[in-house]
Amino acid sequence: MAFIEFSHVNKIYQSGDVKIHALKDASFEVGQGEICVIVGQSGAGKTTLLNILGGMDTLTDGRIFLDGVEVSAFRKKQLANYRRNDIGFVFQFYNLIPNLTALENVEIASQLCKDPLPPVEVLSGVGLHERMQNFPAQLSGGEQQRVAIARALAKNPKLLLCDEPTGALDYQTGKAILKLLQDASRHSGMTVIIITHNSALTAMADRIIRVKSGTIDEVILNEKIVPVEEIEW
Amino acid sequence: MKQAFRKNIFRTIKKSMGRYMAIFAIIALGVGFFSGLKASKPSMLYTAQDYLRERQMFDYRLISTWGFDQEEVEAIRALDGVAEAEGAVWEDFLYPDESGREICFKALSITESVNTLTLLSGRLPQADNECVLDGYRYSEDMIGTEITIGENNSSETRDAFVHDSYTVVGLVRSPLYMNMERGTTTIGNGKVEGFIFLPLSGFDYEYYKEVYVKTPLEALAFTEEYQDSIEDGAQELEDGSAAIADIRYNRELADAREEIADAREELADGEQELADAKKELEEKTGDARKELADAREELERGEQELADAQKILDDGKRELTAREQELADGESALVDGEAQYQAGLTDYENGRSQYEAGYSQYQAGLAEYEKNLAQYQAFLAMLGGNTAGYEEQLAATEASLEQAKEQLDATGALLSATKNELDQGKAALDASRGQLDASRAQMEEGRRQIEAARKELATGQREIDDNQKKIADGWKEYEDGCSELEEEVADAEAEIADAEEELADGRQELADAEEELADVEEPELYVLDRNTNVGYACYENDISIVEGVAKIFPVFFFLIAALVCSTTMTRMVDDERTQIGTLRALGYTQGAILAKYAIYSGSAAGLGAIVGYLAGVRSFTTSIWTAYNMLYGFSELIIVDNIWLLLISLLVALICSVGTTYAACRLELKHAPAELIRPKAPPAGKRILLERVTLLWKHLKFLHKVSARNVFRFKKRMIMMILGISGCTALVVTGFGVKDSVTNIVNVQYDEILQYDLSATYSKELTFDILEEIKEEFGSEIETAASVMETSAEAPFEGGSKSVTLLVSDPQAALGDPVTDSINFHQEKDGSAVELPGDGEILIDNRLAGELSLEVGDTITLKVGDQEKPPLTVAGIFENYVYFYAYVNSATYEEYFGEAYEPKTLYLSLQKEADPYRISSYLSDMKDAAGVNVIADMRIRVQNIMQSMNFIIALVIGSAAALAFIVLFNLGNINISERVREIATLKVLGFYPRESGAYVFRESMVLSVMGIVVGLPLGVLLHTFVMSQLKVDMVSFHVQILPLSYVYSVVAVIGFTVCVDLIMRRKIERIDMAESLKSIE
Repeated sequence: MAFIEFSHVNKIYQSGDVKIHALKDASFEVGQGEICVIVGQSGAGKTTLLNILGGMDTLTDGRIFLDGVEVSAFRKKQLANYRRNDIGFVFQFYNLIPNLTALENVEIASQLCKDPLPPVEVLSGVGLHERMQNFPAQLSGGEQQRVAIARALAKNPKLLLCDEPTGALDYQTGKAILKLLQDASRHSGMTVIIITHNSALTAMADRIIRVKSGTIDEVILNEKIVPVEEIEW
Repeated sequence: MKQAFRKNIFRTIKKSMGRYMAIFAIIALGVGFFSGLKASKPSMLYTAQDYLRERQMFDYRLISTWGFDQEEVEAIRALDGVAEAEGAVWEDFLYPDESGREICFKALSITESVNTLTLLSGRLPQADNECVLDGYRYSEDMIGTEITIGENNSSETRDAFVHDSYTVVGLVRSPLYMNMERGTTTIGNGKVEGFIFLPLSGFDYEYYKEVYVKTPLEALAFTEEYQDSIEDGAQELEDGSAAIADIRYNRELADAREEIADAREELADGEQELADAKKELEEKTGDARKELADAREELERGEQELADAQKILDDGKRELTAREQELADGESALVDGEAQYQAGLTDYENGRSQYEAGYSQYQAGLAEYEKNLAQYQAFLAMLGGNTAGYEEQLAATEASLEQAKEQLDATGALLSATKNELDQGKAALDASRGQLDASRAQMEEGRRQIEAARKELATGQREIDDNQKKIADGWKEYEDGCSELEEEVADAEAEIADAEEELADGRQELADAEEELADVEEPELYVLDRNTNVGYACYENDISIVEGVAKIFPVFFFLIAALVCSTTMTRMVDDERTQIGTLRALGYTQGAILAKYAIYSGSAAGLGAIVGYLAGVRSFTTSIWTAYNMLYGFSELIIVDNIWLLLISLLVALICSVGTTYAACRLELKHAPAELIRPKAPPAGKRILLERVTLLWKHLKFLHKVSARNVFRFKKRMIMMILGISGCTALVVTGFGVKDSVTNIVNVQYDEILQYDLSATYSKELTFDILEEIKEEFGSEIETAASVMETSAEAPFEGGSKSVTLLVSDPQAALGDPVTDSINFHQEKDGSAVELPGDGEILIDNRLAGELSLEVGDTITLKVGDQEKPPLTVAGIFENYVYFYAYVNSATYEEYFGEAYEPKTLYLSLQKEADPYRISSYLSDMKDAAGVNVIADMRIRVQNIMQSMNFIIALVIGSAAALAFIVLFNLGNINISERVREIATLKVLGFYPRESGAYVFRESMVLSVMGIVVGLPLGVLLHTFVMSQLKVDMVSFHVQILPLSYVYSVVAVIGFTVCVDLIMRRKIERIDMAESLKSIE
């Protein structure tokens, strides 16, 4: 069994009389240590997929497994534990807590889980050793996103979920962030899923999943992985 | 306004209903609280005014020591300034109720034109043995029962009623009893339990006991105008009615004088009469005695006379006897003479016959002779019959003839001689015959005379006898007269004695009457106004409390409302920052955008104000009235709407809302539209001061550090929160504090300060006798008895003066116990005793000290009447809450006030189980008793004020709670909505709901605690301020907040916080984690 397995997942949002079929019979697998890029246009169902996989939302039917555990069977509390221990999340807008320093923003996550990585080390790892005591407002967007990644990594999660991690960043910074994610995956063997509408990013992925109108359009195993530095968009 | 713009506003309202409602609610609460409290007193006042006008409550009540008659009532009615006057009577009596307990009732006469009754059920009396009963205290079950004038009533009381019992036919209310107090009486246990009203005809009365007067005054009760007019009119009425009362007084006085004069005159007459009678008696007895003496004399004379007569008679008798003897002798001589005569006659007969014979011879010779003689006689005839004297001569002629004859006839001579002899014999015989006859005749005569004499004697005797009898009768009569006289004199004397006695009595009576007249006091007339009616007097005082509360609390509410509006609107403007930017970019003016938010908040506030006003005025006044109803249940509340109040509320509400909106908008509108479109930079994280305290910071848990930092991150919200929470805490503390300050004074005043249970005032100086009498009667029940002098003085200060009860006692007095046994003079602060003052010194209470800003060592100048007394040094200030008290010793009083120290008042402390009312009733009945106060009554009266206050306090606390809730809810809401993204992120990071809740609420807890910390001292200040505003003239409050009240307040505020947290937690749980994925707006 693969590390992540989606099998026939459906998600229907109901608001009033309108039913939105956000995911239709989505099935795919992601192996451990892979970098997977989920790509699609706005409204294709990427975020729904991410929400469900990240334990932020429940599915209507189908099954999801992570590392052999059925995530789709989790209840609220188990989902919280799942998010807490197994998932690291990187947001488009970083979502750092403005009132906490860089280090503290990492600590707030690391203190939650069972065997976290030392926050200082992680921060040093993302190159922010000097700025650990700075508040988010004192950091640039890229630095903030590094903090966010450090926050996710410090939890030592099974899976790193990244939602448009470069969306709010300029080209160079975005590249640096992607590099950081790639390095993280390569060095620690962490499974990373990046969600983006930018097809260019697929080049760096081990596995590419295209989403279209709520369905899995195609799953491609990338034979020719390009280092981030060489990706252009 | 553009339609789209209007739509936008409506949509905004619809979308953010919670926010809209928050403004609406806080304004409604503030306005409701403000207008409710503000409207309560006017409504209650108006209710009473309306009730009193409708029920025609008296303006003056006249009482005279002489009572009033109908004529006087009419005269009073005719006085200027009197619209209506009606006489009334009343009587307190004992009534054995159904359980057999004897309770005191007051029976009053039904008046038609004043103090009209409100019929609650049943009907009004129609017959004079029917009555209507106190509807406050008794239920309809009583209708049909009999109110009996109990057996134990005094005869005076029983006599005052026409019937022995009265049938209850209805239940009523009377304006004379606006509250539950029924007053005291001198009978029974001294406490009146209820009243009944009877028709006037149900009373047996001579004079009206009182006259109720209505003036034509239009001014409403309790107004200054009314009070002033009544005070102004009182003197005139007093003068007028005193003049009326004087008429009867003068008339009765004149009558009495006249009567006395009459009596005196009568007495004088009586005395004169008596004197006359005495004189007359004397005269009469004198006359009678004289008469009697005369009669006696006469009788004696009569007796004498009679005796004389008797003697004469006896002499007569004796003479008669002698005469009879003589007669008898004469008769026997006569008989002898007769016999001699017979013998002579015989001799004569013989001689005669011889002579006859010789004579016949002689005749023959004689015939011859006669012839001669005839010649002769013829001659004689010629002489004319005049022979009587010539017989002898004739005889002599004859003889001569004879002689002649003799010559002729010789024989004839002898014959003639014989004849002569015979004749001589015969003549002798005849002579003797004649003699005999004469003597016989004489005898006869004598006999006759004797007879006559005898007869006369007999008559005389009879007469004498008669007279004797008469005299005897006379004596008897005399005796009778004497005894009669004596008797009469005795009677007369007795009568005189009686009369004298009577006169003496009369004199005594007269003296008495005069004394009485001298003692008759002028009718003492009292003009009492409504303020002497307990219900009326207490009412305004009691309802004023609401006003005191209304003064300060609403300000606080509005402040907080403004705060809430401000935070809400600031948040809203922040939220819609981009929208504002867009609108501006589209070309809307600042004014238009401002208008949107102004309309938003203004409409919420306006609606809130109107709803708050309507609901507040109705619910507050009604519920406050419900609380007062327990005391003053006289009629249904009339809610008075005050348009000004509404306008003020609206204005304040709009200032609170639109004003704060304007302030919030201005800040944003200053920015250029381009700037507004961009998301606002989140407030930067900062290190806080606490972090510098490394030792402490290090030991804090990580999340606590976060919270600590968060607390200070949103400065404005922190300040709002702290202000809101501290405000609510202050309100709650104040609420509890008011309760503490209020509830305790009753206990402090009547348990700690005034330790006596009864005060009895006498009209004369107290004596050992009075004390002995009381001790004898209730010895075991009385703990201490102190004699004091209670007098009053004015303590003037700038802008007014306070009436002070001045207590005077002699610390060395032998009479009774020391005054300190009855009144515990101690300091308010620490309860330590205040020493009694020396000469020239005075103790004053803390109330007076406060009003006059005096401290120990200052001097105080008191006034009695208009007279200023020498200044006294304040030697001590003691705790007191009810009325104003000051104390001086008797020496100081006499020296500084220039009047004699006369203790007339007795303070009695009783044993626990003693019944003060029983003792009170006894004391009231004592000679010279002027008035008895039962402290328990005072206590209840003060307690009633306090109880009405308690309810208002509950209202305040309740409202404070509501306020706290709204503030916390609103701030919590804002807090969460500002941090949705942060919370969502935390959730994504795997925070459990509990943890994410705690993450937020640790903050609000900290803020609450900070708010409480700030709020407690603020509460103390507010409490002090509120207490200074809560002025009831009669009492002041022991400004204090008990430790437990702080605890309650803290618990309450934390409770509100927790409550709001619980609600907010649900909200946090509902926050979608997807929010974290959204872009920043």
